[in-house]
Amino acid sequence: MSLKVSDIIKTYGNYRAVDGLSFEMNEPGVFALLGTNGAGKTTSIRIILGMLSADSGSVTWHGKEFCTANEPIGYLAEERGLYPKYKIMDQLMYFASLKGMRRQDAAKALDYWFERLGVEDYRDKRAEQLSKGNQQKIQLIAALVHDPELLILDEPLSGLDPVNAELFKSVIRDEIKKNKYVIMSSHQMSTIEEFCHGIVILNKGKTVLKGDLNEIKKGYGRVKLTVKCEGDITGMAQQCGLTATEITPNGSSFNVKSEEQAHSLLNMIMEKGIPLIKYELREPSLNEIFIEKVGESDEK
Amino acid sequence: MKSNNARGWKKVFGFTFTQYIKTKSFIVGTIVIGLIVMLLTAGINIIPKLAGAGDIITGSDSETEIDLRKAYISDSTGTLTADDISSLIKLNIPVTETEATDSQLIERLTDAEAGEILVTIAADEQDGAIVGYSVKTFYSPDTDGDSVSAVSDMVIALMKYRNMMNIGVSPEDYAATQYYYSASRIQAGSDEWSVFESMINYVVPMVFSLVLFIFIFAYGQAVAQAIATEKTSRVMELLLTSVRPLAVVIGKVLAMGLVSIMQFLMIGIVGGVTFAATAPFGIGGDIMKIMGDASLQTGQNADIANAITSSFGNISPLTFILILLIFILGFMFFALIAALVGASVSRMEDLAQAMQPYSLLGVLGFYLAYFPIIFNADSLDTGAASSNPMQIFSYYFPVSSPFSLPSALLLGNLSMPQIIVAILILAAFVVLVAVIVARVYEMIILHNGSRLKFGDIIKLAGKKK
Repeated sequence: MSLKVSDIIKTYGNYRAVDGLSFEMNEPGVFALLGTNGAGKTTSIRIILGMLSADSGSVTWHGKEFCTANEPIGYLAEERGLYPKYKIMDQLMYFASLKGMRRQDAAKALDYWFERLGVEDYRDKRAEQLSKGNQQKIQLIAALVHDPELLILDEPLSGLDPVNAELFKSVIRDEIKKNKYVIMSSHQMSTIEEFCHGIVILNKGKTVLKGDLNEIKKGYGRVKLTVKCEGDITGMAQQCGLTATEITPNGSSFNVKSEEQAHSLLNMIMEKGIPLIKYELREPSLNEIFIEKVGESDEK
Repeated sequence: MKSNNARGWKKVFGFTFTQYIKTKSFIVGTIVIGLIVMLLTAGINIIPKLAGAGDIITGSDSETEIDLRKAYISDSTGTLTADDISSLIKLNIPVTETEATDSQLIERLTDAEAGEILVTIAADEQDGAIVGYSVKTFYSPDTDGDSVSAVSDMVIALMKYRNMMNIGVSPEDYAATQYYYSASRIQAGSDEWSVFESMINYVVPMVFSLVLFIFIFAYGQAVAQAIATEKTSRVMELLLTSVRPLAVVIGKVLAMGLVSIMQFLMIGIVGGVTFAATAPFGIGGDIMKIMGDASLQTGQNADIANAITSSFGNISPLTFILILLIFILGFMFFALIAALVGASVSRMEDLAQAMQPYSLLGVLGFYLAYFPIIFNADSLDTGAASSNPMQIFSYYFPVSSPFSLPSALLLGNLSMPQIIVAILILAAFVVLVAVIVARVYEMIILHNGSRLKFGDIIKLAGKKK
């Protein structure tokens, strides 16, 4: 057991920002902390990092109380920050020294990361002279320079163009290969699905869903049906007890109660001889689960 | 305050220090202030000398070098004797005899070369009786003005002396009439100051309070600015994954303190070197001559020497150590408050408004130290040492003591036990502010949104983070 967050509660005045958050990361990989804006993700991350103290609950790392200053931890904050007037190399050396790195080791690591992220030319530039994307790369270097065992990435891909987003993803994949523990917070569900095993979904401070993403999806089963035909299937769907949740040029989407319900619709289409272009029966996407769970939570 | 909470402050200190001294504002500011100090020091040293004050200080009237080629003396009153003329010649005045009339001489001087003068002496009469004498000195173009004035003064002095002799006053009695008289009003029980002592006790605290205010206050503002920049640029969040907030504030405050001391010393050295370099040409050199040569310490010079010895005679290495300590404590006091202010804003645009209470506090401290000095201007006339209650208060009040204590220490206006009490009060308040900062800083440094007001910060001091 490596990272264990147990029943964290944080209250500001009468507002409970985090209400009993618990999760565990027992093995290396990526864990997702998800939620709408203001759900309590950043507060939770700050508590895990020790920047804020919780009203109750605990965070342990390898069985001991977690202390940021003592642990090799890398953090890419949601709201990026660099000293605008200072040279990039000076500030990265400073951040590395705060992480306890020796000067020579820091310089060597920085050489690697400058080349890896293609920002060698910006060493002696001031941060304010860099584009937003390049500043984000420098921030990622600051989080990774000391080769941390635990990495917390808060919205790592927001604001990046597709090329740089892919570059960041490749870095995250490398960290996973190196058996690092990564906590990621993002609104880009496709990215989360690409990397994460464990997830927690927060809404208004409360945990509305928690567990292994594959297991969660399996628990739902294949309940999402998309059908595209050269003809109207509305009547047939109704006969099968299905109502389209969405009709787009890519087809009609249905929530099915069982795979048999979907198969009966398929059989009807085949019997009528309607040309079938697409038939997809799948588990719900993380995005769909997220919307459903947050919606349910709001209704309560 | 756990020591673990401060771990890493040295790295924050090192980075803040090295980055700040590389900033354009520091480099340009130091050069500009250095140049101003250089010019002021040279000016204060040399200008009074050029204006003639140096002659008074050294008592060197009789040593004024007479740069004249010819001096005609036309005494229509017949007061001056041959002995008087001889004594003028002995003082290197080239007295020249002539048959020409005054008007012919004046006409000749109009086109003559530099260095020719005519001194005319005429009696002013009223109702047939002499009521005074008119001594006029005409000189050719480009003649040395100091020489003209010196000869005129000497002739008048001789006229006074000769008239006294003519009415039967003895040389001894005449000397007695030349004694100087100084008037003082001294409140019973207070120290007695000479005019020069009063001037020193007026000018030194004024300059000290102003200079200390500028350094302590301006660098306190720089601390607030640095912390607000870190917070608003979100760098703080990254820093806090490595060090505790207390380490950040300690590192920042100490680094800015060292920068301010360094700039203060650099400017002090520039002033000292400039003074030493210009001393031979200014009153600084004259004062050094007086202090180094007991034979020059007569009349007014003795007053100057006594005033300097009395005002600065007790200065020892301990004095400078205590002044440095007061400077550091004063800086810490204001910088810690400024750090809180810097941490309370979420946007740089709010910083100026948030700094208003800090500015008011600083200005209050400065005026408490400065105004009593202004009120004490009376001592310049009365010669009475200051015992202004507001000034005494300013020594013990931590908001003003950083600005008023150093000069009191330098001039020996407080006894050592009084100084120690004042320093202890200041130190106690620094600790109090540090405890509040340690308690509140962690809570407000990550606060975003509306600016925290003073009342909010005080409330937070009593809560768990």
